[in-house]
Amino acid sequence: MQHLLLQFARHPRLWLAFLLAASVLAATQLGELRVRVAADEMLVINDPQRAYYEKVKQTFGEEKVVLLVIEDQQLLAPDKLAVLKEVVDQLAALPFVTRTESLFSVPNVKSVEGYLDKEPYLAKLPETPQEGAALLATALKNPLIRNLLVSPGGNAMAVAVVLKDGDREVDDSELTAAITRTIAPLEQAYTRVYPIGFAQVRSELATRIMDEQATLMPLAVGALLIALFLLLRQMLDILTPLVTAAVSILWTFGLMGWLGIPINVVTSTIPILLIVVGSTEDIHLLAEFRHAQRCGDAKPAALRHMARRMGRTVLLTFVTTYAGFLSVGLSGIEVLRQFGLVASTGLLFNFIVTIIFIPAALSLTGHWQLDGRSRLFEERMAKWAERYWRFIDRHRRRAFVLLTACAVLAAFGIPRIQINHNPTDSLGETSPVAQQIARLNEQFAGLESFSVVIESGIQDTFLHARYLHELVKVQNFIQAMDASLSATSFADYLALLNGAFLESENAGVPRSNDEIAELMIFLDHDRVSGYANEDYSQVRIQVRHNIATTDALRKTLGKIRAFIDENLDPGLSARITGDSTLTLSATDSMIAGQLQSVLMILTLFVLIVSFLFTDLRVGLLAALPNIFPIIILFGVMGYAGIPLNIGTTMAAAIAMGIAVDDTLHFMLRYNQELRTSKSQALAMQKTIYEEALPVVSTSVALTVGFLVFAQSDFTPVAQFGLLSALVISTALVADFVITPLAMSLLRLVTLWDLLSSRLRHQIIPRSPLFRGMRPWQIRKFVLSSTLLEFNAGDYVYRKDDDSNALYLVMKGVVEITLPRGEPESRDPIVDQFGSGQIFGDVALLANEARKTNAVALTNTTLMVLSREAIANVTFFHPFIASRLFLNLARDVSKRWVTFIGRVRTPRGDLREEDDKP
Amino acid sequence: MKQSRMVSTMRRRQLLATMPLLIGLLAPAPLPAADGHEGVFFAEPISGRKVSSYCIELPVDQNRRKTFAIPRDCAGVLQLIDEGSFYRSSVLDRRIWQKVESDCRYHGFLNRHPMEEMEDHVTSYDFMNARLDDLPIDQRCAHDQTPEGLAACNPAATDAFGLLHHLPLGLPQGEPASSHEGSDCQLRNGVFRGRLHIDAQGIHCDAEPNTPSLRLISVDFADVNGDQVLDAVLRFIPLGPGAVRLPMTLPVTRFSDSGPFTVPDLDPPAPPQLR
Repeated sequence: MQHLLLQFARHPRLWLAFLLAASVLAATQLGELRVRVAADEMLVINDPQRAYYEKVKQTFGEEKVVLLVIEDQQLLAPDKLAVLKEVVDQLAALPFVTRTESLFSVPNVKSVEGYLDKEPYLAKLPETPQEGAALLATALKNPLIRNLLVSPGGNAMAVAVVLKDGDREVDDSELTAAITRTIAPLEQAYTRVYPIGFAQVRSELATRIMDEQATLMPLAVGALLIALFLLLRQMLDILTPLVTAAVSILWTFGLMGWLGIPINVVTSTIPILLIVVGSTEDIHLLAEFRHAQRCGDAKPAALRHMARRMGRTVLLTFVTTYAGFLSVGLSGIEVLRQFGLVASTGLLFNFIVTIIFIPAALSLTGHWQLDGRSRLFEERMAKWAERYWRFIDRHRRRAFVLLTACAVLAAFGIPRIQINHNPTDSLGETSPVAQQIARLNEQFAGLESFSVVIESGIQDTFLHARYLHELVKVQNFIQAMDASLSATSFADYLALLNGAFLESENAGVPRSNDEIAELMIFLDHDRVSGYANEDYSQVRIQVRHNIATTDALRKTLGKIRAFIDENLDPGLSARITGDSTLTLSATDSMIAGQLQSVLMILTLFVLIVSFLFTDLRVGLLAALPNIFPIIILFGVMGYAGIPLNIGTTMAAAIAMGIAVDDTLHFMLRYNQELRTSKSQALAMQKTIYEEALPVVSTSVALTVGFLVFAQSDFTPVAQFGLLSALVISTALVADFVITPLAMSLLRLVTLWDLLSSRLRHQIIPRSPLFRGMRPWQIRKFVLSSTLLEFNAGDYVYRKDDDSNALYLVMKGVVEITLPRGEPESRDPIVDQFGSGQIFGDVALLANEARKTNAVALTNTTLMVLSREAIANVTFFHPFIASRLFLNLARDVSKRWVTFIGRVRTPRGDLREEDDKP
Repeated sequence: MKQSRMVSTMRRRQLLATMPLLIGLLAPAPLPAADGHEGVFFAEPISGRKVSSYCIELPVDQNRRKTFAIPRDCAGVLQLIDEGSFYRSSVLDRRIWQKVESDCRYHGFLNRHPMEEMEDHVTSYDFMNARLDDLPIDQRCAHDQTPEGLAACNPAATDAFGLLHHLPLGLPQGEPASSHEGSDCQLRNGVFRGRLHIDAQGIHCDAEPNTPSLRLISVDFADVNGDQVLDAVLRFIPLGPGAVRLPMTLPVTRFSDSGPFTVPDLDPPAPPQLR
């Protein structure tokens, strides 16, 4: 990575030309970019529930509907109806409309002289207001009209405009515009007229997305620029994050255009994401460069310093964030899958642009400085860092209590979080479409729907009174749950027919098989095809409702399920399906996916930090500053009543990406400082000092930028902005309070860190004990050992001592003698061991008491590997252990061969003087 | 008799005069009757409209359906039924076959004998507002109030057309008879709502809007027994909770303009599906 950064700095014009060429290429694809909010894309791919719903739609048909709502005190006034009739006819003639359903078309089933009359309610327009009122009263008795086409209060009615379900969907905005144009004459005639449906909601969302991108994005970028200017005071440093973000956004949009991925509610956040997450890397690289400059380095030296210190760091932070966002692509929801793939690719683009543009731009213009240093981060910052560290170290208990209290308080708020995946709620209370939906929900049964499908698999099941009444039983239960919803079924139509034949308003559902059979002669299956299949083995109850929150919907569906399980005839089976249930399934999948993504980022982070410090505890403790902002985020959402939806869960994922980036920078810096300072306190002070500029400046700038989004009228954008600002500021606190305190709990200055460079790079790797081992394996081994110092003449061990360790001579010489027990005579010398050699291993492996004495001949340093440490290594790292034992076997064998060679001398005795190591 | 023939001829002329207009304007409208009684009306399947003819697609075997024009193709339909060459796999198929058979048999019933010189004492009577006392409702069960007599009484058997079977004779259990009595025993615009009690003193009626009741859906005139005396064929449907919309047929006749109505002697008897 370091070489790559320097390579880009060496040929700046070439690489900047490459960026320009790629940008021009991407720009050619921008024309293909579309804004689209499609309902299907919010659902789970390959969801069995979705497959079932598709089957149900094939059986019963699917109707995409736009409701034309008309409000007036005299709905059926003759002059008004004449205008309405004309408009309804014009609506029916629109190219994307299949038909309209209204009082002009719905049959008023009644008996005339003993025969049926199925003329529509408004086949003949009422001539007087009294006639109109009577007609309205009659219509309200029809369950297929009440709450669906006429409000129970009788002051609003609806015309259902049924849309064609062709291969090519009509553009929502074109559809909305055409309907709005057509209904214009009604505005003069009626008090209030509006068309409302999911097409209008999607159209409004798409318009809002475009508006927000056009108005708020420049404001947010402006706020970010001002904040960066105040903090950094370097023109190049301020503009660089914006340039890299702009180029990567251009590339990403170009890719989206080329792949046909639309901008939707979720992918519209990608530009913000690229600015936010991408700018942190830029600031860190630039901060390191400026730091070197302030230390007196010339431009090339400063570039080398930046590449050396930041190369690996930016690569690791990129990999963590990239993997996190890529994991969102594993989601079962189409839009999240698109988001995961596009966002991760955008981050990859941003990384590429950053590592090319910054060295290249600094190479060309790095000497340009406004005044050479930031106003806020001058030399005295080092003293502030020291004072700050001492302060929080001194008040660590208070800080711990305070932060724990915050976390606990927030944690109590988490269960209050409501889940709401309803896209109409995204529009906000001020949106005209949202207000129209609210009015619709007040007056009618609502826009949302689900179905209860009951089946037996046997032909004509529901033409038997017993099973028809099972259907009615479930339907009545649903209707009784909430008067505002509308549950309709095939039984309603039979009841209407029955009432007409029996000339009774309270005839109800036919009671006997004969009655049903007789009525069936006069039933047009087309009228009930949405409720019963052709052989009447399968029926469905259609439920229209205005249940807004996911939690409430889940409870309602749960109650229905429980009722069915308990009360439905065992010969029948029932399933609940429909848009609402799929939305519920999508919500579960979305939340699971986001949690999975957050966990993946966190796990990757823990692994990287654990690997860097070769200590899992460090990784786990370093995760605390990342978990803290998430707890605070969800806690605030719980208390503030901000629901968990596709926008707010995105904030969690993005927040985690940012928090992990900052923490990783912090930890990597700390790791570097530890190696040089050998003191945790000093390393922490230097880390705070070095990281304060990039982390504080990016955090403050991004918080300000996101707060601009919090001013949006568009609820998801406002919530996203507010929560993101909260998370970034919380992550800042976490990084500068929790991280230092957590790190200070562990002894991170290890034996490895304390070893001199000569020992680490010359003695240890050349020792026969570590032959063939990789550096990290050696390090692992060294970390499980201890160092002992001996003065000349000190015994390392004596004869008959327990053999509990083997020794590696780091410095000095140790002599091994065989005690004879004769005070006068000198003990024979068995061997002598110098730097890098090992001894004491034979007795250890034989598990016998020492047979010899070991004495330090000079001031000696030994690395001691205890029996317990070797056992641990054998247990936890068998591959390292196998290499260790092979090395030991080789060493012992060599010494044995040497020993035999000495036995074969002509004197047949040991050559004590020659046996120098 | 002369008067009745004139009525019939006038009706034919009127119909013939309006035929081109009807055919031109209402192509899918009910087909004109092939023979006999153009004034016979049916409830058209699916729409339930009052029509003098209709087309219906009937399953003749497992994989084949055939379209019939009723009443023009009634002979063919009845032949298929008599031969057992029909297919009734579903409840709906079975019921439609029944309806077509019923309509055809009714049409045949009206056309048993040619409408020629005829003695007419029925067309002048307003059946739509008939007093039930005037109609030949069999009172045999009602006259025998002993437990043995009631047990032996089979209302359906006393009336070949099933009318009594569908008229409630008794009171709801536990209710005193006096609380219901007092209303007119008369159809009003073809509808009778209430309870009917028959005892030794005659027929008594209770006005109860929600009790099973009757609607007279058609009055056709024919010589159903070939005695050269015009008969009125009344078709009732039951109304009210639990009623099945199966038309019940009651042929009545009388031999003087002020005489009582009786059920004409039928030879041969009415076909089994005629209701």
